[in-house]
Amino acid sequence: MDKSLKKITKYLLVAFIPLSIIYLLSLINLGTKSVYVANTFRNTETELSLAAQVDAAQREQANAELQNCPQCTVTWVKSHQGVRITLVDKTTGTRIKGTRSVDYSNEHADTSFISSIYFHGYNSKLDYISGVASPSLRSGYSVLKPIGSLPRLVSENKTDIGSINAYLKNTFVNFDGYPTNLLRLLRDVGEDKTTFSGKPLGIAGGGSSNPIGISGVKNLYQYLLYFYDNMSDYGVELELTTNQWVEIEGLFNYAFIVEPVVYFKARTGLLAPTYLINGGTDYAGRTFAVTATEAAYIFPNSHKDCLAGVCYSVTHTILPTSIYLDGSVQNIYFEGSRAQYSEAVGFAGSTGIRFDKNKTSLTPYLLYTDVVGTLNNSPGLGIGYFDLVAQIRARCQTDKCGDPEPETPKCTIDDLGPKPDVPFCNTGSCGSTIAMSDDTNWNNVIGNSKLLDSSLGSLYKVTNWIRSNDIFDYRNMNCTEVGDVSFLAPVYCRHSATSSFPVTGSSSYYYAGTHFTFDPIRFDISKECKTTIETDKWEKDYTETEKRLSIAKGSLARALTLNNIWKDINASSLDRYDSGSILSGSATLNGGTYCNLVQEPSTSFAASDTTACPTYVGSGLLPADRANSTRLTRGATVAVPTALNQYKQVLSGSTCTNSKSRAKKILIDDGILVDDGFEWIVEGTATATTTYTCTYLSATATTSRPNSSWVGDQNREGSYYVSLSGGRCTPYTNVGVGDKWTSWSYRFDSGVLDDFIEYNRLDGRTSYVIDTTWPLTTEKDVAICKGAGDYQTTVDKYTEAVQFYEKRLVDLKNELPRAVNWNVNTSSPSISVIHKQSITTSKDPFEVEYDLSPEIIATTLPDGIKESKKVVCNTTACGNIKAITGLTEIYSSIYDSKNTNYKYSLPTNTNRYILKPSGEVASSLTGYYLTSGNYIDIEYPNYAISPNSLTGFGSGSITLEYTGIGQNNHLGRACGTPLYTCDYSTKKIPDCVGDGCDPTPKGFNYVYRTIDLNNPFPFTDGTNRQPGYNWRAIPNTVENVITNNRGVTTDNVYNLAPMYSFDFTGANRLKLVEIRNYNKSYKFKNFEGNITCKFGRECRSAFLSSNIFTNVIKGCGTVKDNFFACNKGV
Amino acid sequence: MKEAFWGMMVLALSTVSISFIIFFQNITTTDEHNYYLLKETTEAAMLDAVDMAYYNRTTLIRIDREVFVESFIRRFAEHANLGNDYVINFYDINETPPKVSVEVKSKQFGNVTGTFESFDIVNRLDAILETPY
Repeated sequence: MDKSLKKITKYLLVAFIPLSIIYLLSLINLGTKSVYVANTFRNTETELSLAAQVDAAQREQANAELQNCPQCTVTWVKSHQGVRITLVDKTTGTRIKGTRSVDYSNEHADTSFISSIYFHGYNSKLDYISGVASPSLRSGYSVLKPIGSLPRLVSENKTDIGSINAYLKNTFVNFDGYPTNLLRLLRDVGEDKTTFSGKPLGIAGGGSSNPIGISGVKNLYQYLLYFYDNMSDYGVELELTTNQWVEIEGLFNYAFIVEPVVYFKARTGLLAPTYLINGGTDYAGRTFAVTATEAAYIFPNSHKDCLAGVCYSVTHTILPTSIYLDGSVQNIYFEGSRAQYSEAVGFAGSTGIRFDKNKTSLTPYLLYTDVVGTLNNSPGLGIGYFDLVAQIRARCQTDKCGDPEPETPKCTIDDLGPKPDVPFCNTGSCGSTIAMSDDTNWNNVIGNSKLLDSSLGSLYKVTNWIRSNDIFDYRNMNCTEVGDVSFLAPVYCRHSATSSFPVTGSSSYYYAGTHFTFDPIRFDISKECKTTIETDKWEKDYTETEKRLSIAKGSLARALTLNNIWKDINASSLDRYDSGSILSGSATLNGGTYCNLVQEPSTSFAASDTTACPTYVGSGLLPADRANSTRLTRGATVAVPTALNQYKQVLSGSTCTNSKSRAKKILIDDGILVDDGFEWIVEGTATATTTYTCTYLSATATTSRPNSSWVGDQNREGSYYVSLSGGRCTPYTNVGVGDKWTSWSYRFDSGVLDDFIEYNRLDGRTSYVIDTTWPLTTEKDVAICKGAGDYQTTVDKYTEAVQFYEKRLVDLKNELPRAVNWNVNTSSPSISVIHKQSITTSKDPFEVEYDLSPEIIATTLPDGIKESKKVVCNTTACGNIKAITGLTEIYSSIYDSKNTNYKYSLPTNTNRYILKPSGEVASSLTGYYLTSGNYIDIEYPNYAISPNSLTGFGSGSITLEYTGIGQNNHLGRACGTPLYTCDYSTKKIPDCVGDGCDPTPKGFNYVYRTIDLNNPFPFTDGTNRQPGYNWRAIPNTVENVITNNRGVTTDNVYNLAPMYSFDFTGANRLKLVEIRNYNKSYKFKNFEGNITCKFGRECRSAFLSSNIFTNVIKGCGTVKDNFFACNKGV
Repeated sequence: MKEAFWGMMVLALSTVSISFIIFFQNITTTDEHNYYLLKETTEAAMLDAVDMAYYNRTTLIRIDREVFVESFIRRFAEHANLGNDYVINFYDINETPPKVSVEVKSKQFGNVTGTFESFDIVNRLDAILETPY
């Protein structure tokens, strides 16, 4: 009993443990789902509750501006202000029916705070044009925070609408836990169609009581999606029936309106408008979110300062305007002061603004600050709805896409949509050969010379010249696909694709167990490139280049003049410097300081002053002095120099051995040291030993001091100048020279220049040092100035500039015809489709799945290239480069398309063989099956489907993926994500082969019935019923098989000898034990390897022939070599 | 004494009656066991013998004859009473459409009246696999 109890307890434990595990897993599973759901909502909440970190300093600064404005305080800093985006029909100026505006803001406080904000509903300015008597306030505000901060809509330099354009197209917001931009937001959210099942588009209706929230966005998306799904062709008006949601006249007449939204907090005593203290409700301390139009109403003109203060701080100022991002900016007119009541067409009863674009007689007036796009009436470069839709239009169309199951998605596009149509640039080089004319490039051309800023000539500088911010501009890109693009003609290419896929369903399906042909899959792909030559830029560039060339030529001429003067000076005597008029004033040039020789020198040197020694230039040796000098020794051979920039004086006839680099040849002409400035004995880094024959006999400086007349007497004919540098000098004495010269000398500190005197020519050329000991401390040396160098560098740079501008003019002249003759590169690469396909089949009973890659047969039918070119010129001399100024427009486009049909079929012998008895399919036979015959040969490729699934339709069994469409995968997705994923259904019907095939199978479905041989199919009323299909497919089956089986009627079959008879009597009862042991070793369903057939028929069991059944089995069925010995067919 | 005799007779008759009841109950139980064993085994064996390959090809239900026989014998042996003698006869096996006629005979032994008796218990079953209309 105890053992039994223990056993029972053990069993209970054994059962309890797995059950507990299963239970726990179930709980975990449920919990996981719960967490998932919770996270889903939490993501949304997180998105809504991203508390922005308000910059307190900025806010305080902004509030400080409101000291005289008690109405409100700044709620958020200016960088956190938002915009309201509205989808409108730009042809009618009305909001698209069924849509609502969406607010974006950089600030995103907690949800409770957001919901407490008062606002007027999600109205755009269009909702106020007809006048609103008293816009109501309500709470329930919601706003989306973009991942990337909103760009400034207003700035001192006007707003870059292009950046806003790019922002709306590319900036992401967090939505439902993943980033998406506006377009994708609208689309992705709406993918969940179940949310909107049965909901028409009656969601929006701006100004209604329902906040937009996420649901509004979803509905807006649905609206857009509807556009797409019903789009019959590219650029063609939608063909909608009357029972559809909305009427849409044209797809591409829609645009976004972007309105600034400001946030402020009302203070007590807010003066106007009165509704802020409406019906006893004091809105003091409440935060408001209003568009600029509404803000104008709140702050009438009498309080414009307050508004200006507030709104200036919050960026948008008072902007009763908005931006049409479709290229047509609405003009808004104001009077300089308060508008007349009669002129106000905005808020009824308000005189704050005038809002009537038709009153063109008024001067466009900008209130308080600049207004984007309204001052100069320049069109915005905005984003059009066309652009947005173009990104999502490459999608399966309903009527061309397989629709196996009404509730099953057919072809689905990747969630993120196709990647933007960015240029594909790989090899080759195209684009303009002319550098863009921006400041940077100009500087690069000229170098870093300070000439541009010097008094010698400042070149004209232009900002923002020529360049634009076109994002898909193929200029300056190595793009083989667009050909040679001129910088004058920005090329924009747009790729599109229309696809058709095999229709599945009742009219087209595959038989299980047979082959199939899967076609056509057709892609109509097109690429359209357009260009418009920017002749205005060309003109501007050309004119500017001419101007710069003129300046450069003038500067060059002046530099040449100066250079020649300097050369003359250098070659002349010192007296030439008396002509101080040449160098008027001091100038800094190439690092040197030029002395104003007219100006009296400063004599304010104090004896105690010390300073870094300026370059010392003194007059040199006179011929007479040189002749009497004792420091020269003729005929000697000296090794010079011993250090860099050191030289030995040599006389003619001497032999110099140069063992140092950068040694310089020195010419002594009658004892006068001459530096030609160019000749070098050796120049390089290697130490070389070179025997050099000097021109004159060499002389080595002796230790004797030079004659005192060597230096300091600049008035003497033939003197030259030496330069001293380095060390510290103190003023020594001032020496006046004539009425124009004032020279001063320095007393060198002890130890300075004991060894060197640096020579430096007045022209600033290379200085050098002679080896001498020359104690100058007591000499009366006269320093003048340091020569700063010649103008050769200046001349070179201006020469370079002139050459550049001249070349640019030539290039510009050539660029225009190059732009006009632009043709897109049509040779390579061609439009293509990158596809991947797979077929998944299941092979019951083993539940093994595998993939097949069908063979692809592709045919390409290019339509060729269609080119259209339109050149408009208002003069007849367009070929004349000077007449090009009259060229108003050159338009060229190219359209390339290709239709491609694809045909899919199974590879040869795919799943051709069905193995017995499992039913598994195989593409080839192994040795066993080949010899045993346990297979059925279908004789052609077999689309295998599980027998359990052989009924009705199924989806997902054939999948086509297209990862790239269009030239260079323009419409494809990055990272190999499929652009299209098309799942096709299969009608799971075996091919009917032979008699009795069921053309409408009910699946692998049958019943086991015991029967009465005399009445095998009885009906309830005692009559016979119709047999099942397999018993009536072939006539007389019942009679031949049941009622007249084995040639005898009904129960008489039991009078025949059995086909198989097993005797388990007596000792044979032990055979049952043997069979049981056999069963322990072999599973019941695993008969494979134990059956031998003849091509799948007449199967024999090896088990029945085993020794187990010796003296047990008998009967006609066991007769070898005669499967039909029992007078029995199969 | 008289009452005692009657009492003995009642006990004897009761013993005999109970023996008969047990004997015939044993026969009945064996018959019932054989029938259900035959029926269930036939069904399982027919399902085992269904030719999946043939169905994949034709959508028709077919069984392999000897697969059926093998499966039947193996399944029958698992649940047969090793104390009984069995004779299993397959009188008809039709592969397409599937139809079988099987007979199972077993002997039941007893000694109620002092004489050792054997009884043959014979069960026959005709079964088909039928697809829906």
